[in-house]
Amino acid sequence: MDGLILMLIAAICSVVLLNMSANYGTLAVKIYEETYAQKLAQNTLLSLYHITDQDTSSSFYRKSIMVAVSQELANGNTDLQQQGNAAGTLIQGVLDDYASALGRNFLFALTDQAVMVDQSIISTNDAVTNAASFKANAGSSYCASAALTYPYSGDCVLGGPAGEMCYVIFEICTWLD
Amino acid sequence: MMKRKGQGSFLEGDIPSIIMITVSIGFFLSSVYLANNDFQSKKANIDREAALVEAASTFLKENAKIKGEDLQQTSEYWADKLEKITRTYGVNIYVELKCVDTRPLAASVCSHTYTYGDPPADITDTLSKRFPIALVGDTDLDVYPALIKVSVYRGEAE
Repeated sequence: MDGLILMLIAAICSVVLLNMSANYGTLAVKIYEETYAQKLAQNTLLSLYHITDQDTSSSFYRKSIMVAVSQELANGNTDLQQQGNAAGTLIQGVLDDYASALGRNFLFALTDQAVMVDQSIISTNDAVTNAASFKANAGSSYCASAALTYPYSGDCVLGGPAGEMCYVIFEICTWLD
Repeated sequence: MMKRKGQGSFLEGDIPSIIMITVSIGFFLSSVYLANNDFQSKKANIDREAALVEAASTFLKENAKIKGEDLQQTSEYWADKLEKITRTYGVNIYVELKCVDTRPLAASVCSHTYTYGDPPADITDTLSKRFPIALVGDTDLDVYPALIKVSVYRGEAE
């Protein structure tokens, strides 16, 4: 009977040990994956500040994409989805390039009171055209946000005043299908 | 059935006990061995994931902007940064930087791939991640969308 008891103890210990080793690191890897997705969104956001328009015929030639967005806001225009909008076209081009290379979806949006402004949304996913469809389609997304200043012209079209300028918060989100 | 006087169960006695004890110890030792192997491989995987995320953070700290030539192995700046990660996690790091701009005007800049470190051998277990970065071209006013691919591996390089 001593042998049977020992077998039973050995079996229980082995199951516990194998179970522990099977679960070891699962949480850590999940956290690292989430950190990676978060940094991916942050890197994309920072890239938009740096990437310049290389079209020699454009009024934003060699200027940052975010300068183009700032200019649109200074003109009182928040509709970046509008056909032919220079800032919207530039952002769409860069996000499409990143999306096809990384196999992820990207979204750019200006926000008002922490809510995405529908007509400012630029997305690499055809099904996402406004805040509601983003919520419905994006699932688990990772976002990064930053402030953008633009010249003051009467009332701020979005955001609020910051000294002699206005500021608006914009977001970049990324998610997998 | 009634046992005859003096006859025990087949589980009783020295020989069955010795067999069961030996089997128990063998079973337990083999599960310790398996669990240890599992722990080691997962620990190595976590180290590589950590090295990857730290490498991503390194490029993010530099405002996600980089000049291609600066990444080359001769660059002390990146060599110092990436060698620190290599030492901390005991891994090898290989970095590829390539522009992803599909606009025709970017074609000349996008034809080149910049690298750092030695590429891993095909058989090496490698973990790779890619993330966006801005690539500075001929002047500070020529900046293109690019991807940086960081590969982390142990063992032999190519």
